[in-house]
Amino acid sequence: MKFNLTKPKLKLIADNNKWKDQKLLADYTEEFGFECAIKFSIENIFELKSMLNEINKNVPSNFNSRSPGWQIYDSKACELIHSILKELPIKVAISSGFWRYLSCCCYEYVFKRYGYSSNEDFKDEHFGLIREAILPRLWFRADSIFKMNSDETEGINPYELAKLGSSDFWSSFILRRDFARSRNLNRAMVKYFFIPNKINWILKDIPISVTEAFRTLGKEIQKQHSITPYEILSEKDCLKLISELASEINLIKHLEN
Amino acid sequence: MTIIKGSESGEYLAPGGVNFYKSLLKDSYFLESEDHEPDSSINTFAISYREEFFEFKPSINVILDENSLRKIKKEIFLTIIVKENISRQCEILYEEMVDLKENKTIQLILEEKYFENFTFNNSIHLDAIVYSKEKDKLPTIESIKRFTLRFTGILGLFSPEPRPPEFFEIYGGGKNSMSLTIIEAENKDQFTDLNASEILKVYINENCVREFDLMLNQNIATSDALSIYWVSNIVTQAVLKLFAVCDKYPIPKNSESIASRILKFLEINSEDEYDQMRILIQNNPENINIKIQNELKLSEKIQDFRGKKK
Repeated sequence: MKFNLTKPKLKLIADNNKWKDQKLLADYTEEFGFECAIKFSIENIFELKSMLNEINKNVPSNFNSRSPGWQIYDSKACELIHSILKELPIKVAISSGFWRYLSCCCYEYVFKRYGYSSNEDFKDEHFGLIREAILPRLWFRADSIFKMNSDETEGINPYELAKLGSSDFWSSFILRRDFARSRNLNRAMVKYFFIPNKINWILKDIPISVTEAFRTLGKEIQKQHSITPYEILSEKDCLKLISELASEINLIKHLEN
Repeated sequence: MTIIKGSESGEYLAPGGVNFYKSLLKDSYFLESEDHEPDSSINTFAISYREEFFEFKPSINVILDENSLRKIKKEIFLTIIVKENISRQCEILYEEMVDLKENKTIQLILEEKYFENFTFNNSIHLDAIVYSKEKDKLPTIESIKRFTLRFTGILGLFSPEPRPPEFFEIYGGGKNSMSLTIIEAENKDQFTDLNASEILKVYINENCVREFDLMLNQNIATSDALSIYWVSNIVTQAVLKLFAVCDKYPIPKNSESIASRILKFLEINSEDEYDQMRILIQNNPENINIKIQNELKLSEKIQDFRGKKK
């Protein structure tokens, strides 16, 4: 199976506005150039495309790429992409060619998410940049906190946490950070900032937004990595650490009644 | 809780208040092969063949410094963690309490099974970490020593990935093309925030990857010069793209980003220095090429050549 689309081939599709031509996409797609066991099929990809298009139908027409309302649609898409591509080998997941292919196949969602009004808005980076372009970003977002089924997770939606938080939070404090190797820390951060749903944040007696809260505390969490080996901490210990760091900078989390 | 500031870079960073940070693990070493001689001063290893890497029983050998140990009055633990940035994978290979009375070398032979989730596309870090943990408190790192295994990575900027000859045809080259550089970044943030290895891709024709690697690793002047010439060509492309995209001094937010590595490499530390370099490049892009050749000491390597005289 071929799931690798090179940059020039993507450009050819864009230059000639051939987004709808799935046969051409298939013709342009190459082998990866390395051996890898692929555990999904072309049917899975088409299923994903169709379900992303279903999400698209509910997105208000006036949305641009920065509209805050994207959070609910990103949550749904995040769960969808990872649940269909749960067994994506990590070697493929870090291949731009794969994400270019997938994004080209599911171009309607990419166009909508970046607020394209025409083919002229095309940018290669919206398709193939790992952890940054929308589809890889959403897959890595889910993968960074994903826990395989176990007794501990029985009956819990494995994507419950991945669906919380803004795109800014995920990109700035998880996906771009080396310490995101620790799934326990990632899970603890999401829980700390976004559970429960309604929290009043106070920094040095001044009310602040959740964005300001994670921007302020996120820096401390990053610095702390040089003296605390996050990789060996349990999720509970990570939560304790985050709470202690918050208290050091006088960040208070008030739960709304 | 005492907060001790620092940042993770892989170098020794001694946060204030933590003793033994440098000294405790200083004698620890990594061996690529059981036949090699230990040298605790070497922290970075260029690994040419991932397939053969495990055959020679590579090992991490942890030795705790006696003088530092004598001063430690609390329980300490040793952990060895292997980490890969590009895939954000990590595995804890070892975690035990240190027996302060019986200080002996701890050898851990690296086995392929530990690395099942790793891509080997770039650097892998092996961190030996000694930490203390008091009752009801979180662990604090007392000492860390990092060994970096670069799987054909160069300057930490890129790691060539083999591709079949047909791959180069798609990009307008041919079956005899040797390598291709692609920089997958179009805006300033991508140069300052993202790891270089995620956006700077170097592909090499698999027909000649092994031979080219042999040519580069002959430990002779010709080999060094060829290596530098190739690297300088790739670095030049990265530099030109950085200066083309970032019209203002890009402040790196990530120590492994292209901006961070290139500014450090070119010793640019201020907005003025950045602007001067940008004007220099705009006037003639070749200016950056000769500067990179100088930084990589190309002429000096060629001077070492001892070939037959005509």
